[in-house]
Amino acid sequence: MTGLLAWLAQTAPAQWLAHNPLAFPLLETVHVLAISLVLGTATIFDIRLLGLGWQGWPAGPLLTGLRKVALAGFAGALASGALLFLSQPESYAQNLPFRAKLALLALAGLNLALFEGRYGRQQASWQHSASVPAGARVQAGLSLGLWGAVLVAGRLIGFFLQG
Amino acid sequence: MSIDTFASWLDQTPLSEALKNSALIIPAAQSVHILSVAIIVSDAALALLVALGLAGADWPLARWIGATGRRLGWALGALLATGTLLVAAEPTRELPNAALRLKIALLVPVIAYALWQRRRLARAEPAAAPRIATAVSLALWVVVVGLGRWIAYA
Repeated sequence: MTGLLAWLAQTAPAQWLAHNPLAFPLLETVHVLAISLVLGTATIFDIRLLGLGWQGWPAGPLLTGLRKVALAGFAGALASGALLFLSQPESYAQNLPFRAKLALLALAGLNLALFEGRYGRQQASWQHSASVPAGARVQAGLSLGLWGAVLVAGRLIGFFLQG
Repeated sequence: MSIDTFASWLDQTPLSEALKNSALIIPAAQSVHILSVAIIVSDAALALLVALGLAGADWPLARWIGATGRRLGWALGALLATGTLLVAAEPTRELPNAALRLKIALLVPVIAYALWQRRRLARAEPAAAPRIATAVSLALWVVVVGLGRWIAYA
């Protein structure tokens, strides 16, 4: 593991980050913008599924319409996050909030995968709140909590970063 | 009163002292600040995507804008409240910061433009030029976010 982290710190993108003082803040900005798309769309999905808002918008089409935006945001957050990690692989790997963020992201991903596996085909037909199954609502509540926790863990990384 | 005098005065207030002495308030305020940023930026991005027809199939922009109004209002309120708290916690370090000053100066016209164009778009005014208006608003917010990130480096 230590060998892998040391090797990562020597890769071309890591060296590029080390030699360009502008790269890190620019990547951080991209990361914040990408996260915004994920959180913005995820909260709309979850609030709609929970029946707490967006009542005038049929749930199925709302989910379908915003899915690509959410995925694009996630791809951007993942790519910029991976590059930010490369700037100090060893420090991040030891950072408790960073580890917690990865674990929470895995849980959020698992929650989403289970949701898609179970409701992927039928969700297009969800119109009114009553047609959303109770299980889907529980998962929406879980999703809200997990994404909130991912955000807090991400914010805490800087407070615990060494080196 | 100069900004430096104001910063020194704010630094001595009980509010600033309380913020400095709490380990939890700053990360909590930062998290709420980022969540507010996320809602505002995604709202601007989604308005542009809806205007371009890239989000949803034929969603009417005026209706979309109407549905997002309350959420945006809460996010703007939380953004300004948490931003004020974050400055009040470290006024002598934050207020002289060039990136922060530029961000604060830009916020007024950016928020005013965002609210003005939303009102026109929600009324579906033909002259509102939805694609240009939503693109300009998103670009302005991106600049504000960039400046916000830059505070730590300025």
